[in-house]
Parts: sequence; C-alpha cells; structure tokens
Amino acid sequence: MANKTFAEVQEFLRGKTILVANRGIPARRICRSIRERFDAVAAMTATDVDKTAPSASAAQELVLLGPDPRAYLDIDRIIDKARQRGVVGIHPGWGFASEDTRFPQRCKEAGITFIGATAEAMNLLGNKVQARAVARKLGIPVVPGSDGAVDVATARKLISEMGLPIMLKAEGGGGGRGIFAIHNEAELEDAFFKASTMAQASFGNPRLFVEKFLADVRHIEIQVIADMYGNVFAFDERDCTVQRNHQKLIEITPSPWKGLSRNLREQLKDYSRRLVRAVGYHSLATVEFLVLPDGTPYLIEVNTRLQVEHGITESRYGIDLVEEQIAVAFGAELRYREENLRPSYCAMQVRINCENPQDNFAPNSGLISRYVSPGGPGVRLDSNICAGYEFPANYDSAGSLLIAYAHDWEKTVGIMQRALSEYIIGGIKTTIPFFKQVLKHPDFRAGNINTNFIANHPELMQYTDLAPEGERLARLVAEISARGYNPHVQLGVYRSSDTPVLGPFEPVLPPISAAQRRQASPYPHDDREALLDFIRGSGYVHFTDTTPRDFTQSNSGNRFRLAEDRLIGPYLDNAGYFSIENGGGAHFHVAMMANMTYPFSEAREWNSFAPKTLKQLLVRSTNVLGYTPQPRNLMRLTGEMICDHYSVVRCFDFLNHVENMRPIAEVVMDRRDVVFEPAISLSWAKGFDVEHYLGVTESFLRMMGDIMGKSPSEASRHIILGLKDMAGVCPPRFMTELVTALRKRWPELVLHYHRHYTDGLFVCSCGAAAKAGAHIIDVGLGSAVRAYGQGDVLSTVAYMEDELGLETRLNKDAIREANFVCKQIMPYYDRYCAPYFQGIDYDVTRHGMPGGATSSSQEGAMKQGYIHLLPYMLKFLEGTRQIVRYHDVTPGSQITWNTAFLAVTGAWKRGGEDEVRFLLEVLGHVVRTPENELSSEMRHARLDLYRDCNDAFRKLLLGKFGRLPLGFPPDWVYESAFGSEWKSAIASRTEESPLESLQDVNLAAEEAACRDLLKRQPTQEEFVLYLNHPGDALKTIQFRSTYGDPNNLPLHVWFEGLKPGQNLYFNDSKGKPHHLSLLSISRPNDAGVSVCRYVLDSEIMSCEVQVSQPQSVAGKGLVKADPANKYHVASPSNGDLWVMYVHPGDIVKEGEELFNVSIMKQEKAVLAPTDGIVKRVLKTADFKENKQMVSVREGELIVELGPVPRVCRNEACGQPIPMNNAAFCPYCGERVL
Amino acid sequence: MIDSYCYPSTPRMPSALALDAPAVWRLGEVDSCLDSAIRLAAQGRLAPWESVQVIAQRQGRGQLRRRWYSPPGNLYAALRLPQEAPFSGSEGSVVCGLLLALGLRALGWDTALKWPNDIVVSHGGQVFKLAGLLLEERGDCLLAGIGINILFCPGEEDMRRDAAMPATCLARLIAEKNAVPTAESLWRRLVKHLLSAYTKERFFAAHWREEAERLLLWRHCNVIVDDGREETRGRLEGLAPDGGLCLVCDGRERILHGGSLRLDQTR
Repeated sequence: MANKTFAEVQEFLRGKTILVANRGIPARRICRSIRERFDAVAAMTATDVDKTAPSASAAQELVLLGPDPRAYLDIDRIIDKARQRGVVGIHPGWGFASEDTRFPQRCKEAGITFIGATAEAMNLLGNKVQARAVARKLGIPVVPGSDGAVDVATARKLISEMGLPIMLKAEGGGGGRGIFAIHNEAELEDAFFKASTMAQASFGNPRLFVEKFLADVRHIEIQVIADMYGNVFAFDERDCTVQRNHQKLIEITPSPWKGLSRNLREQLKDYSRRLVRAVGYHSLATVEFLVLPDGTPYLIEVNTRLQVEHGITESRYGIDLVEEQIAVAFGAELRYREENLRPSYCAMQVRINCENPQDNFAPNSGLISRYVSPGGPGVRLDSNICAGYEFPANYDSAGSLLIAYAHDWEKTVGIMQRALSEYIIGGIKTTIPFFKQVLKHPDFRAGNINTNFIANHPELMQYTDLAPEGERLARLVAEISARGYNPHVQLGVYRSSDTPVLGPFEPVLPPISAAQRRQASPYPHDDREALLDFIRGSGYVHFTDTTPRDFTQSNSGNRFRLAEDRLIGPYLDNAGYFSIENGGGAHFHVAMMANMTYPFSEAREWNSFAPKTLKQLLVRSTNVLGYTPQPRNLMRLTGEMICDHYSVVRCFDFLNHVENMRPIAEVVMDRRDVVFEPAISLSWAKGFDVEHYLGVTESFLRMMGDIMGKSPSEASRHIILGLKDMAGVCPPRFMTELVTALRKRWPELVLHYHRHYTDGLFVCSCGAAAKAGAHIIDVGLGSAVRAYGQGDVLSTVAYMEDELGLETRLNKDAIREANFVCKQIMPYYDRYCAPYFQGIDYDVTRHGMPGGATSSSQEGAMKQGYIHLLPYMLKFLEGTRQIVRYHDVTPGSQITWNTAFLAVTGAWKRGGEDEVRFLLEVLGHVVRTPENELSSEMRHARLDLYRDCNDAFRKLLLGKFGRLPLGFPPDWVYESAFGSEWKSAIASRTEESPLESLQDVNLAAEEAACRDLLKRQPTQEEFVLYLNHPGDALKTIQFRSTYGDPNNLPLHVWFEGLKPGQNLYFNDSKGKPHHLSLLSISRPNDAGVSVCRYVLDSEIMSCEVQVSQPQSVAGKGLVKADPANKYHVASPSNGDLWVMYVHPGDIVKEGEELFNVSIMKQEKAVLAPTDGIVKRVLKTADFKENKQMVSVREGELIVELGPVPRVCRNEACGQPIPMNNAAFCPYCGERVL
Repeated sequence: MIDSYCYPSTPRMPSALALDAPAVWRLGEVDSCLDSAIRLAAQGRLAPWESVQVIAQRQGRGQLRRRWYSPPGNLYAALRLPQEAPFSGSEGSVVCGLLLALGLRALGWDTALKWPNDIVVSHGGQVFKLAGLLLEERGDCLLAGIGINILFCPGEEDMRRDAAMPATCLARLIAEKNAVPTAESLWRRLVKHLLSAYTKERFFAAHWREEAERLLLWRHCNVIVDDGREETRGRLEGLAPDGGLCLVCDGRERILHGGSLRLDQTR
C-alpha cells in the first residue's frame, strides 16, 4: 500500500476536531495551523483564568478545565474531555505536559492521535541519559559526564576525572531548569541535595547526572522532522546563544557566527538525522549542541516536541512546521526533500516577556494599558496579549514572540530594531527595551558572543524605559481630571471633579515689538564693579521685581509655576528693572515639593526668556537653600551652581550673625560677575535702633573686607547692603533715619530696601527709604499684590515721582502689559493657593510675625482647635519679643511662634483660660517692670513662661544658631526653659557660628547613594538638589520620569484637569504638538477607582485612577496593592487576618512582621518589604484579644508604608518628622537635621 | 527538666537513586520548636526537608498562637518545606496533613485526615485527635510544625471548650507499653515516609487531592464549619483544588477556606 499523502490526511481531518492541550502563544500558534489547511476544528483547553484570553480567540471551541490554573497538567482529565468531544488528535504544544511520557501513552489508550513523539521515543531521546547513550553508540560526541544518574560519591569521582567546573542536571529537566553549576568541590554536597529536591519538585524525578561545565560555548540546535516511513529532514541550525540562566532570549537562523562553517552545519545535520533515525522517531524534534570556539560540537539533549523558536525555521524556509507535524502524526508522508526545500531567509526571534530586566527579570502581571503591535515588511508576531488584557500571574511571563526576517543578517537586525521601536506595550514592564540594548551591542551584531553574553554585560540593563512624554502627560491630565484636583501641588483635596471650574486658561498675550526686544538693558552685565558704579552714579531710583519669588511665596505658597513665568518673564524683562528675584528661599524647595520643577533648570529658562535683566536669588546664611546648616563643601558646591545661574545673591541671617554668611560670601566674592548682597534682618523695637544697625553694618563690612583683603570702608564699594524688613513693620520715619545714617557713614555703599506689605505702609516706607538715598527698592506687579508680599510697582513709582520728586526710569508700558498678562493668571492662584487668613494686619508691628508665617501659623492654630487662644498667642508673641531678642524671619519666626503656641496651649491645658490670662499678666508685668522692682512672687511666676518651650528655643538660648543680636537674655529665662539644668545650660552657651563645628559631607558616598536610588547617574543639578532636599528631589525626579514636564500643561489643567468632551492642545518638551480629548470618567466603582478614557493623537487610551476610599463590602471594593509599589503590603493569599502588629505612624524595619494571615491552618507572616513608616492600616485584627478574624483577599492592600521619614535626632523624642514640615520636630521642637 | 542540648544528627546527603532521610536537628527543651527552626533557617542551616525535633516546649503553639500541650514524651518537630507547589499554595496545609497521615498509616496507624490537617484515629467507635499540624510562612521559609501525642495527651479539661473531639495518644492505642515508639525513632521514620510519599508519584502536585479525599474524615457526612462569625452546615463532599472544603448546603456547593470543622449531630 502506498504511503498516505498530505491530501489524504487533509481529507480525513476535514471537519474533525483537534485539541490543543495548552494555552497562550503555543495554543494560538497551533490553532492557526489547524484551521489554515486542514479545515479542521481547532479546540483549545482553557482554565478559568484563560477562557477569555486573547489566545483563546484563535480556537473555534474551548475545552474548559475549571478554576485550577494547573489543570493543563491533568492529562487524564484532558483526555476524558477530549474523548467526550470526539477529538481525533491532541497537540500538547510546548511546556506543561508536552514531555510527559504518559501523555502519548494515554492518548493511544483512548484512541486519540497524539501529535508528537511516541512514549518510547520520548523515553529514549527525551531522557538525557538515554539520549547520551544512543548518541555514544552512534559515535556522536557528547559533553563529558556521567552516563547515568549519580550519587554524591560518583559525582566526586567524576570531578577528579574531568576537573571542575561541572554541572548537576536534572534527568527530567529541560528549558534550563534544574541545572546547578559547581565551581568547587566543597559546594557539591549542598548543591546536590538542593538540585535533587528541586528536580523532584519540578519534574517529579529527583535523579541527577553530571556534565562537564563548558565555559565558552555557543548553543546551536538542529530542527528535524521525520515521518513514519523513515524520511527525515534536517533544517539549518538555530543559534540560541543569547541566554540568561540557560533560558533562551534570542534565537537566530542561520547562525551569524563566522565559526559556523558549511562543514560544521552538515556535520550537525548528519548527527541529528542519524539520531532520529536510530530510534525510529516520527515527529518534530530538536537536537541541541554546544559548540566550542574551534567548532567542536557536543550533543547536550534532544527535545521531543515543538519548540518556542520553531518560527524562525519556518521563516527561513517559508513553511509551516506545525502543519507538517500534524500531517505526519496522522500518517502522511513528509513533503520536504533536500532537492525541493531550500532556505531563503535569515530570521531572528526575540522573546517579549512580561518581565522587568532591570529587576533581575522579575515577572510582572497586570493590566496592559496600551498595545501597538509592529508591522511592515519582514515582521512576524505570535502574541498572547492585547490592550486591556489583564496579564495573569499564574503562568509563565511569555507575552509574544517577535520575528524579523530578511535576505541577510544586517537587514534582519535592522528590521528587528525598527520593529522593537514600533512595539508598544504599556502598563507592564517587558523585555522590549532590553532587547533594544542587545541589538545595539557590537559583539551581538558581529555574532561574536557566547552563552555568557548577557551575564558578562550588565551594562545592557542600563537604560531608561520611558513612554513618550506626550503619553505620560496625557495620563497626568487624566488623573487630575478624574480626581478633580492635583495631589502633586500638595494643597489637599481642594476641589472635586464636579466642582465648577474656572475654565480654560487661554491668555491673551500682547505682542512685544522687535524694537523693544532689541532695546538693551542699561545695567552692565558680568562685571560687579561696573554694575555697582553704574548704580552709584545713576542718580535715579532702581527697582527689583519680586513677583516670581518672594511675592508669590508670600501670597500663593510658591505654587506659581515656571509655565506662567514663561508668559510674564518677557514683559518684565523689558520693564527696565535692576533685577528680577526669581529664586531661592522656600521657592527653591517648593519647586520640587509641589511644582515638580528643577529649580536650576527653571533659572536657566529664565535667563533665556528674560535675558536682559539680572536675576537675583535669596539664600539663608548657614542653610543656603535648605533648612539645616550646610557643611562647607556642600555650600561651595551649591554656591557655585547658584553663581552660574544668578547675578545677585542676597543673603540674610535671622540673628544678623555675619559669620554665618562667611562661606557663601567667599564663594560669591570669588566671582567677578556676581554681586553679593548681605542683608540686615530688620525689626523695629527697643534696642533695634539705628545705632544698633550701624553696628551690624560695620560687622558685615568688616567681614567682607576680611574676605576681600580690604578695609571695611573699601569693602562698602564692592557689595550691596540689603535692608530686609521681612515682617513689614518699620515705619517710614524709621527708614528715613536708618537710610540717612547709613548713607552718611558709608556714602559709597549701595542700599537695597526690601519690605512686606503686612502693616499696610509699604508705599510710604519705600518712598521714605528712597528719598533718604536707598538705591534699589523691591516691588512687584500690582495685579499680584495681596496682603503679605511686596507692594505695587506703579503706585510706588507714582508716589516717588509725583509726591517726592524722585526720578525713576521704568518702562511703565511694559509693566502694564505684564500686569495685563498676570491679571489673567491670578484668578487660578487666588482660588486654589491663596493663604488661609488674608488681609492687612497692622498688629504685625506688635507681634512681628512675617507675612506668609502670619497666615500659616494662624491656620495651624485653627486646625488644631486652638483658634480661641489665638489672641493670647499673639499677645505672648508681643511680650516674648521683648525678652528674647532676635529677628522674626526663618527660622526665628517659627521658633517664636512655637514658643508662644506651646506656652499658651500649655497654660490652657493646666488651668483653662484663667491660667492663660494669668500667664499673660505675668508676661506683661515682667516686660514692663524693672528687674529690681519685681516681687518675689512675680520672679517665681515668670518661670512658667518658657516651661513648655521646645528644644529649638532652648538651642537658640544656648547660641547654637549663632550669636543673639542683643546678647543672651537674663538668667531667669534659662531657669524657666531648662528647669534644674539651667546653670549648666548657661555654662554651655556659645557665640560661635554653628558652621565652625560642621563636618564636610562625603560627596562621593552621597552620589553613590543617589545613583543607587535613581538606578542611573544623576545629573549635576539632580545631585545638588538631592543634597539639599533628598526626599523632594527624588520625588520630582520620579515624577518627571512618570509624567514628564508639567510646565507643558496649561494652568487650568494643572489645577482642574479637563471635563469630558474638552480638548487640550499641548506641546511636549521637544516642541511636538499633541491633541488630547477626554472622553469619559466613569463613576468610581466600589473600590473607589474611576476609569478615565481619552484620545491622544487619535489613539484611544484609558487609565484607572483611585479617586476615593473604597467602600468596604465583603469581598467587594477591595483596595488592591500596587505590586510595583514597594510600600504597598498586600495579603499574600485569601484568608483571615488574625493579628495586626502595627499601627499608623509606627516605624518598621525591613523584615519585621507586620501582620499574619491564616488560611486553613497555614499562617503567613507578612514582613515589611522595606524600612518605612506605617501610613495606613486598612484592616486590623487581634484574635487573641477579641476572637475576631477579618477576611482578606490575595493582593488586597492591608498596610501602606511610606518612606522612612527623618526621625527626630533628639533621642528622648525619636518621633518621625513629616517630610513637608521640615525645619523642626513637631513633637519636641528639635531642629531637624 | 532536661538540659538543653543541641547537635545535628549525622547529616547524610541523599544518593541520587533513593533520597535518604535529610538532616534532623535534635534539641532539648525549647520555647518553641518552630521558633528554633526559624532561627536555624535564618542562619542558612535548615534546608528544605531538614527538620528540628525537640524534647519539650515551654511555649508550644498551635494555630492562632493557641497553646500546644508539650510535655516531654511526645513528638514536636518543625519541618522545612520547599516553597513550591503544592506546599506554597493554600492547599499546602492540607497536603502536609495528607503526607503526615500517609506516613503514620505506612507505620501501621490507621489515621485519617480531618480538614484541614488534623490527624485523627478511630478507637473504640470514637474519633480522637492524635496529631496536629501548623504551617508557618515567614519570608522565604515555609515550616510545618508537627505535634504527635505519643505518651501523653491533654485531658478533656485542658482542651478548648469548642474542640471538635477529644485527644488521644499512641500509648493508649496499643496494649504493650514497649511497642510505643520513641519520639526520635518515630520522627526519623516519618520524615523518610513524608519525603518518599511526596517523591513517589510524579506530578504529586496534580494528584494529592484524590489521596486526600480518600483519607478525609466525615466525607459525605453532615458537618458544621464555624469560622467565629457564622456556622455553615452542609454535607462534606470533598476538597477543592486550593485545599478548600467542598460542602453541599441546601443543594448548592460552597467552598470554605476557614473555620473549625465538627460533626453535625443534629441531623
């Protein structure tokens, strides 16, 4: 009888069912072949997880296996179901039960054709030991090693024969699993036991054999197919040398390696054909070899199944191996003959796995939020995923197989690179960016690698895997829109998605004429001396605009963004200002904390969109741009960067202790192009009189002279002296007196007056100062004037010109245009960022709290429930300022406020309002009455005044911040603040600058730490930001990689997001335009999650946003932990939470037990994945106490941790310091490091 | 009281063809056998299938930190399990109970498995609890704490009020005193049986359920499962793939994953 033909098998199979006992990529691949030529019914097994997976769509019928995800291993069940359905053949695919010898056996018993090898052939070739034996018989070289399974003693003997290293391999293993390398004999016993146990668990067979470990080899394999009539066809080699831990990542045919000669290819094919013939094999098989650099091959194993990489052989020959395998299984004669099947193409496959290569290839699962598949010539894609698919965690991480093919290797690589760049899989990490690195590597392209290529090139993991910025920004918009507020601005839940909006911000921008743009600034640039000479000789009043910094710091908490600076800056630049203050102070920190903007990059942009005007920045003496004294080397590093971006550096110290300014003064004076402006902190009170400030100025000039090597009076020619009335308290008459005296004493000294509006006397005080000879006055745009910043430029100028007869030379039209633009901006900031308490407060002249602090401290009192005590607190402030004397500006203002707050609330807790009133009576009496007239009762009672003070106040008394401007307070203050320790406190007072005792920071170590956190080298700016504000710098860097530059979004979107139906046109940082249209925001589900759908540049996208707290219904409304978030601690399984060990606010160490979940007498201790502070505990239980357990679901968020906050360094306190409350410990008041 | 002493029994590595008994640490009286095992594992001195056996426990614990009666004379052991299927899943607990029941049956004790993993014996027409088992997972260490009553068992007055059945010990089950095994010899043989029962059948991971259902106490009987919040009554049908208990309640199948099981004598 003639051999059966392909056509006869086709005829037989028409309309019959073939079952693929597999899932995912192999199942879909095989179903395709079943349908294409045989016209058969493709059926596929599917567990509950898989029944709606993308791969299931390839099948015409599904054989449902139920809830157990491991059911693909249950051969008996699958065969039972197949029999019931009348299945004629079963294809096992790869993985799962494909190499279980019982499978063909049971199929045979059930009368079903198994599309694969017979049990006998599997036993002979699939078992490595058996395969070696067959190979040896045929004279095919095998890797030196044991001929069968060994015990430890035999393994040791083999080591002495073959030498180290060796490998222990599981007899039943494959796919790179169950392999242990032994490099020294001492490891042997331990590794043997481990390998054996693992082999048992993985393959049901504990037996191990030994092989010589070959260090420099390529992995080359030959695909063969054989029919039942003795016909065997061997295909050209596949090169699978790119591996990681013996797992293949890239496969190529033919091998691009020069050493793979035609002779070697023929030799390998010959070995393979003989091996398959020798055992009477019929089906697909792959014979795997290791090849040494000299071309010596060793057989390692035979795979008796279809392999993952079969597609590249198909692409090389233009055939369908699965189709042929099915035909052969049903008895068809093989159609392939050497004479009629020739290879035409070069092909390469990369395995797109849902793994994170940068996290040791950790598998990840979850929602695929975006999917764009590659296409075009030379691309084949076998995928198991699509957009919206929840990639399951139950199975392997294979997402798709991407093949490129072309006539030559170079083109193949080119196509693959192009396809990888087209391929977008959003929502989960994949190996795509990693492969891009591999394909770029010259060794890979030259075919010059061995199996250790990946292990030996860790630089392949160094990449930044970012979605395009447009996509990231669109997601940010979607998130803000769904919530209705922007959590990143740190203003709380200031609106919801259905609060009425201010509406689109579409500013009208008056044109700036070219002539105006070309109009040069009169101020000399890059030359300090020339600049100061110019001002001295000018004869008119100069101005600094503070709108972008102090103005908006006081009035809108620094939320004013670079995006709006870009709009106003060009107009301000034409106004003829001496300088624009656009940096420093809290603005520097808030840029990172809330505006997600790099402050020095912001400064660079300012210098580009407003290039004509000098830029000015404020530093806080010892602390520069931070909240703690900076070591000299850090101060120098920060100082250099400041000088590269700003021309005027104003520096203040709340004690006017000039030595605190010395290091930064040295850095600035080192430069010829930057002006140093030491500023006197001004209070208006007894003792702080003109004489006092002349003395302070003298001390400033002495130090500056010392730095410059000049006399104090000569030094006065080289700096600007700032007069900083930060509270806005000095009356016009005092300014007249002070400025007159300063001008008289140092006629060459340029004076720069800065004051706040708080008392309402801004215009006349500035006028008085200017009239008396102050050269430069700080002002701002009238449209942005609120109660706490500076005053309006135009009214101030009008007063000076019209009432006082002074000359100014500002371009008022440019200011009007800036005002017009600013008017359009301010409504958004007024609505969302305005201070809690607003308005002029003339009483500032008594209590002395500076602008912004007045409002924020009072807000604090209100929110803590002490608003009824506020009048007493202000009264206390007024009194204590007369006892402990310093200036109320950062950090002094916080110290004063805390002292008043603690004293008043302390008294109230002791004895209610009567006690508070008594305390204030005592305070008033002590302030009014000379020491020698005080009664002994009063001397005793006054000790209550500072009994509740905090450590910051005590440190101030000890001189730890620097020398107090009017000397130490009387001894009784120490007795009150330190109690019984007061004498030793007095003995330990110092008048030295705190900088004297500060150690340099180890910059190299800090940089390494920063690099570890970022997983890349920080830029110089990032590093300086990190050194100044580590937490918030990292936050901004992280934000930028998640969402991009938010300054590309318009103002209304930043605060309000979009409404469904609204459009947004925006440019990304490269200037590429994008169109975003918000389609819908779903109502939050029980878990509090809204789905936001939108169109970005014609592509529909969606994201899930947690918009509200979940509703807790049993089994529903669970908050799922984000597996990518190391601070989310989930329940490890379904079960009962029976003990919770932690509470919000606890600090936990990595590995500490947080809670315990019990399921069927299995207790899982859930350990802290990292050091952190417990932010939330979503469910709690204490079974021992109340015999109650709480149901939890696998993956449910149970505990949320946060980054380890700084802990108060006061050991007695040790409380965590919340990130944004930076300067002092809120529990004990200790200054925070 | 016996002094604490500590030595590992001679570690013998398994040969490839038949896995010999893995190493056992023998300790004297300790606070808790499980805690000792956790410490050894943390030091890298307790590989999977190695175990700790102690003579007595000062603070022996059962599930939910309940006290486990632990005088010298009984068996207290902690066995480290590979963190792989089927042990790593929720069914691990039941599978372990099954292995222990199979081990004791191989040694001639006619034991059954009370869901999820108590080992019970039938004696004189009544069912008694003989052994208990608790799985604890801590980081990458999965341990089975095993307690078997050999010479002593807690009296009725020492049992929890809601205990499902009285306890017994091996000594009560046999007539000749000298036939009662020592804890050491019993554990040595049990470990070997546990490992070989697990390794005997290929793909044990897929087949444990049939075995476990075969040994399941009260199968096809009316039972009550009380999880502290509610009592579920139904007919015990078998086990779910995840180790859960399949109950038919009013004609509908329910799968339970928690609670204590007792016979429903009202029906």
